[in-house]
Amino acid sequence: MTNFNWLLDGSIVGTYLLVTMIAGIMVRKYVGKVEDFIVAGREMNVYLGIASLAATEFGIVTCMYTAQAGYTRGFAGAIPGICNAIAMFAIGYSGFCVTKLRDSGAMTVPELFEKRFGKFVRWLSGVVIVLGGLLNMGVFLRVGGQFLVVCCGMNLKYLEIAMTVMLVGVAVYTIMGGMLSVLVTDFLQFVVMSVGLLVVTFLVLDKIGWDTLVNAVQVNIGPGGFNPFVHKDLGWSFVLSNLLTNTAAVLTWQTCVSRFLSAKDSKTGRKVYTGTAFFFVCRWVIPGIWGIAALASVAPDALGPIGIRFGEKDSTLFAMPYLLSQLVPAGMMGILVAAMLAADMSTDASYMLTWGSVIYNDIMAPFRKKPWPHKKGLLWNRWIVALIGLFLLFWGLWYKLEGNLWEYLQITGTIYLASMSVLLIACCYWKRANNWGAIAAIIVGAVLPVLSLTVNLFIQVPVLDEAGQMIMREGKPLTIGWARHHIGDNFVNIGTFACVAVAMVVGSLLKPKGTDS
Amino acid sequence: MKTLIDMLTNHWGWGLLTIAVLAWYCTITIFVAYKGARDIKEMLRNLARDHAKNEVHK
Repeated sequence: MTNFNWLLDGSIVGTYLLVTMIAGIMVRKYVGKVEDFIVAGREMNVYLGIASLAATEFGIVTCMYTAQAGYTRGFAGAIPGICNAIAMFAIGYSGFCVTKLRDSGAMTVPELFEKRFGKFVRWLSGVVIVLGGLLNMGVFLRVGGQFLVVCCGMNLKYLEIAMTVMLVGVAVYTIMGGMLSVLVTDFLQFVVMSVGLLVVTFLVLDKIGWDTLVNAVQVNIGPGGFNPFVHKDLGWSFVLSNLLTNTAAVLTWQTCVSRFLSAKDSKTGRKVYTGTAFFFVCRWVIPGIWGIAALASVAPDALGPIGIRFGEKDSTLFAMPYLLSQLVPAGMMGILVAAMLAADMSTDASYMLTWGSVIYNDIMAPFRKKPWPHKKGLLWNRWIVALIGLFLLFWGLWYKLEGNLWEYLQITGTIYLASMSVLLIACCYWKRANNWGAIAAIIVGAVLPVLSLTVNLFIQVPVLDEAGQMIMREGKPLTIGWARHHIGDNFVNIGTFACVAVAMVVGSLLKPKGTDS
Repeated sequence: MKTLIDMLTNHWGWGLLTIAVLAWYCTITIFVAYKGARDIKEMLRNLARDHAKNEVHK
């Protein structure tokens, strides 16, 4: 049973969905050329940029993994948000790389690479960006649907239908209006999402209380719940890994950097970055508090059946939605679900559009002998967004997540984050950088995380307790991926960044001088 | 009020960060809701003007 009232809360959610769809579709008339579709004609100003970037970077999936971090790691689980905020503020303040990228007039990061490393590197970069990005967003729909099922008490058999309806709605306005629709709907979604997040957080703090939250972390996690450096699963490698990933994400994550590239000029883009930086702390602390509240008030026995129901090994992901389903009263539940749908829709729309823009601009463009007319370009962009939507639907339906959601997102993101960030820095600031180094860096950056994911999937080792005995769950030994157990996700991540940098330097130095075109 | 005092006394570092998060987020939501709407109007006006210019050039 949940507190979701289908008449009262359902009406709030329905009204919100209708208004968003109308707003998204209405701006389609302003799309006249490909530049309008991909970067909103570069007319985005500071506050719209802040709303859009914040709304895009917070989806249901974000809320789920940040709350899971709060539930399993306490306050220390919010460290990635602090790392992200530091990285975004520093890059926005200094203009490191991004100013050169925006001033180059490129619509995507690989477009800049072509000027320095040639067409093949642009194409290859496009391929790894799309591969990493799509794998990353592949879990969004399923996790979003699971939140709705647990929170609203929706029948599990309707999960796929609900996910499909939402995705089709998002796809319709994204296909019609591109970045313009995304910006306008992001604005509405930011407002609705923020109201929902704030209201629920005040409710949680009021009903459960700060002392209870602190006590729950102290009892269940210990000092490591407050200090990541003394947490047994975190430590310096976790902090460093997150600093690297988040710096790379701010520089090259397609949804993030596309806001910078849609800005009127680099000065506006930098203001968007510095203005949004602290939001990334909010994005981890607010759901983190909800996760800790679940740790304080939800019995672990209640979560096991939910995990089994979804066929997921790790049921900690469902602690937060389960708590909210019991804590938030009818009426407020509608605001919460509308806020979460708002968060998810803005994320899905932006991800479909920005990864679609890379397919159009960097994977297909190098094969064109002369530029397509705007009408044909727009048609292609719209088809690509529709195809990404279809991919999302099918991948999202059959992929079963294993282990911590944030670590999955981090590893799939690293497929391109490590190589693209190293390429961008080298492209902007290292004169000796060339296409040999770039190709070596891209290959190393993609191979290592894929290898780690594959090894984790196919080679499993049993999890042992402190006495060295196998831990059993439902009559079967609990297992973990080999790389995760023996190397650790954080070291895979740090190692990938280090190897990519080495590949870039060695590859570039190996190329004889004077052979660059 | 009790919660606020608890946040400033029990693990005050995380308490202070949580207060800062809530205060900043409330402020930025109001600010962005107002100024963002203005940005949208300006963006759509500029795009309409550019389209009109392009039509004239054609």
